Amino acid sequence: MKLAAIGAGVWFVGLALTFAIALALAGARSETVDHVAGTHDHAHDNDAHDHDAHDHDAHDHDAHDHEPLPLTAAVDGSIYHLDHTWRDQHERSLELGAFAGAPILVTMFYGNCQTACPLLLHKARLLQQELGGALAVVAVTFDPVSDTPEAMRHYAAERGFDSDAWHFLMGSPTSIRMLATLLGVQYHRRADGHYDHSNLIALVDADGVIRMRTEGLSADVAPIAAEIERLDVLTH
Amino acid sequence: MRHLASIIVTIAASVLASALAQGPAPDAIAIPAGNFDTILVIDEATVAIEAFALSRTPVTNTQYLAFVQDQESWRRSEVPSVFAERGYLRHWAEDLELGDETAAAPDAPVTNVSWYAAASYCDWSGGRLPSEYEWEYVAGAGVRGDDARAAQLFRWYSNPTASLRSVGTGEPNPYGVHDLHGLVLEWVEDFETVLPGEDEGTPFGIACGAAARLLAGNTLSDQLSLMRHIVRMNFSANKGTSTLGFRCAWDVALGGVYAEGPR
Repeated sequence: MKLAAIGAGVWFVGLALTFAIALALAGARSETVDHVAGTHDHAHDNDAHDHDAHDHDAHDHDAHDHEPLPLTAAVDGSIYHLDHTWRDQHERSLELGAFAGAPILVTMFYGNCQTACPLLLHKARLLQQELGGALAVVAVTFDPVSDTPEAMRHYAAERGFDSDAWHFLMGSPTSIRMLATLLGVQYHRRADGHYDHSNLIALVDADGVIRMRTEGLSADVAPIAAEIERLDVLTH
Repeated sequence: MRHLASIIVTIAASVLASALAQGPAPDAIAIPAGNFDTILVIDEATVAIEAFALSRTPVTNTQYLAFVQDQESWRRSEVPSVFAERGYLRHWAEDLELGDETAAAPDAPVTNVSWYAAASYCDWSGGRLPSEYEWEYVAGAGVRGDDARAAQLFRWYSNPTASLRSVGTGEPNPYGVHDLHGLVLEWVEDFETVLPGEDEGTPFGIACGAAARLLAGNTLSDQLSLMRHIVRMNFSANKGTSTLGFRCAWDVALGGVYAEGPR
């Protein structure tokens, strides 16, 4: 009898806990949406206030068309069929289809990576500079917990990746894994919080089709540059 | 008491998933946290597994039908080849009709689904695919150290083409999870982690023949796990097969309520 009473007590507490957590999570989800909308302007206010030189950038960000590509418009092999929602370093929500219309470079990294990732992003920057600086680079983090929009803004500012052409994206674990699989990026989270990962830069054309991939920090990126020029990237 | 804790967490998984998902509440089993000795060591031999919930059975044709009814872009005639090549759901009669094939029976595990489709189904249901470590952690219960059981599974691996029965009709494993062995192979979230890699600087460049050197133990059950890893090397994320299905997992953070191990 006593055992039954204890059991019933545990049951009630467990059930109450369950619903409390569920409600809290459900509430947190809707709150997060509001929060994103609320901090969007705030973030831009800060940008405008703290970095006067970037007023033009902020204006361009707002003007940039981030409407997702309609599914029916995407070609069959397009990675833009991945219609998940991402957040960028400016706290905007967007789908990958927002980049349709011009070739882009896509790479994956994480902010706490001290060795390979800086070299990888530097490599993407060299490619971008070689082609005149207008080529968009989409850098997607493996680590959406540590790499918040704010952390990514700092990361970009510290390392000079703060032009309009750089897009640091965060997504859900499933979104990250699905994009990585589309790109052919392998990664594995270690117990110490770091990631083992492929070092890959992919050239994605205006339709979202992967045209070329270069893997390894020592890989020659000249073929990518040649392919971009062939695609006449800078006319967009 | 242990059973009660398990029920509570199972309900928790269902309620949490319902709160976050578009799909139906899952039929999930609470899996307690623990340590897992992996046979393919990427960075450490013992891996800590956090508590999670796992589908009691593989996803069935009926459950998958509900997904494509809700998500038009995942219907057979609509799905782009980047996510699923020809052959996707080929055992079904139509986009929204299972048909008469044995493999399309309502309670049979859904097969001929790509990894992208499986991952998207789980995302729709508020969960995710289990990681390879999670899957092996659960699948090892009752098998590791039991050569007779392992030998039985080898016999299944050597003849996997028997017609598919309904899910959940066999004996559950010690956690109460059904059909981890003996029915279909299953996609895991990070199935590509250990594959032949092109990048000389990563730990992923493990060729098929070389994988055996990473085999920590030499028991029959370890060799079973090794076979699963090697078989995965032949898979592509946008291709399914008639013997490949999946189940989903959910993150559940309820502390030590059920940290008592398998029943």
